[in-house]
Amino acid sequence: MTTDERHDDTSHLRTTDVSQSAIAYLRHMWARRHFAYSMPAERFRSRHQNTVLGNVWNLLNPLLTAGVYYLIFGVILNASRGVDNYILWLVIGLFAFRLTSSTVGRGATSITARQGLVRSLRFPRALLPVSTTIGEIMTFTFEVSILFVFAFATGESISWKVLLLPFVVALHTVFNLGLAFIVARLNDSFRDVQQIIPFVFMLARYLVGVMVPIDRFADAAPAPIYYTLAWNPMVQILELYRWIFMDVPVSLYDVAHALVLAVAVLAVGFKFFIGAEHRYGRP
Amino acid sequence: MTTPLAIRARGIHVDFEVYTDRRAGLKSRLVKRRDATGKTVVRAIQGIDLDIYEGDTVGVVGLNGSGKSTLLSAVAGVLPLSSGELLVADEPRLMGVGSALIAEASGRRNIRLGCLALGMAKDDVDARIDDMIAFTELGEAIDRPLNTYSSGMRARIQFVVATAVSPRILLIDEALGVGDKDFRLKSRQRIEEIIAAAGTLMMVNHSLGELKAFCSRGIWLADGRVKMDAAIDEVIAAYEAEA
Repeated sequence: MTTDERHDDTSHLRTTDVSQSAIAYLRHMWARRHFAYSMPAERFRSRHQNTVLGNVWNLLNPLLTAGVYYLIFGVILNASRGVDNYILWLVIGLFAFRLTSSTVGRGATSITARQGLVRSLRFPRALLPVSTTIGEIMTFTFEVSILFVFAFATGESISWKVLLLPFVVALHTVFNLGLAFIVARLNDSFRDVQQIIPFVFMLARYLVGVMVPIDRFADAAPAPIYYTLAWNPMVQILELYRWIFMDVPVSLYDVAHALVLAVAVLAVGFKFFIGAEHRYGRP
Repeated sequence: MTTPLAIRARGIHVDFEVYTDRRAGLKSRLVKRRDATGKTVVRAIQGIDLDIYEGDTVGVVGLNGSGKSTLLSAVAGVLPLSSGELLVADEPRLMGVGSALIAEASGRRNIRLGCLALGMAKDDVDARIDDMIAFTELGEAIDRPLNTYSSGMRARIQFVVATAVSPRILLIDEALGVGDKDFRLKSRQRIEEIIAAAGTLMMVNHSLGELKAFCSRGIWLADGRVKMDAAIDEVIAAYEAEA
């Protein structure tokens, strides 16, 4: 082993840091897109394997949720809150809102809960929040099928608008993924974040109009709350879902507003996430 | 003929911030500075310079806690450097024990996921997965969930994933010790194939015999620094003399 024949040229060497350019990073992600999809698919497959009913739970879960709310608000309280078909209106809001809260909740731990994986294999870490987001959409598809049943059962007619459902889900996902990126990095630095998130969503549930239409209290609300209501794209996203399934109007201005904000959240979230790429995985 | 560099490390440091058993109270954590938070900084790698050339087979020895595994993880790029510069000629592949993808999913699905995570094309994985499964010799157990596997069985899954595409830089962290005799023989042959195909090997193993069998160069780590860098026989002799 003589060293004189060895070459000290370093021009062919590169650093192991992949987060230097966002374009190169996205290319790495694209090359591993099947991983991002397969990972939640495997989780999904194994999720109910210890239950008697198995995968039936995927449908039973949203069905029972809708049933409980129907029983409480429809039968016992007979509430309407000034909305036609309040039960459907409420259930649409609940399911769509749950998609955001669970994507963000699980997104927060998408890095921290998979330290073993992060420390043994090298891949763009952004794939983890992405795969979490995909996994939650898989759950959501079952909820959507229950929404169709519920809409039909409560006398709504299914119109051409359902053809636009994929676009609404896409817009919603852009927003959710952006938030997931942000909380994934924050939680990697401060594990306190995952403790706070459930309370933020507990509050947000009322502020974005899941339970009560926001115009019922928006005008009387203090300024900080009013701006949360007016600016949060979640408000318009919920309106869009209701527009799809029910006979309620939606304004193009609201759609544009939600779209611009959702894309902005994703762009900021992605940059923020990959800014700490090299730090993920440290003990 | 000249041998090009495969790995160059210059002044690399790896620090961990860990919580000590005696944690500070909330007041001191909020009011005082960082050093009062009950956190301690462990300096696992404290300034290492290394030049490893293509075809080098490097065995790393050292006591527990001397930074061997940390060094491999840092070279693999899965552990961030605190400072210093690390350059590689090709994507290093780390093979270690204990990591799992999805414990509830079967061995077969974990192999598939692992290969996809490493950037193998989906068609490529589908075309080769039967060969990889045959290599593991796990039989029907391949369709059982990973959390029912013994550590030796898990190691087989990891081995086929890590060696699926002949890596040009292979890093092995204690992964060979867990298989049984037959599998060890087979995996040794596979590693020799990789080295023969101009591969570079860095290996951590507490079995000095294993290191002698694979490696020509030895690095002795002590307290996160290189204590000796020479031919493997010399390094092992010196290491055994001290220990």
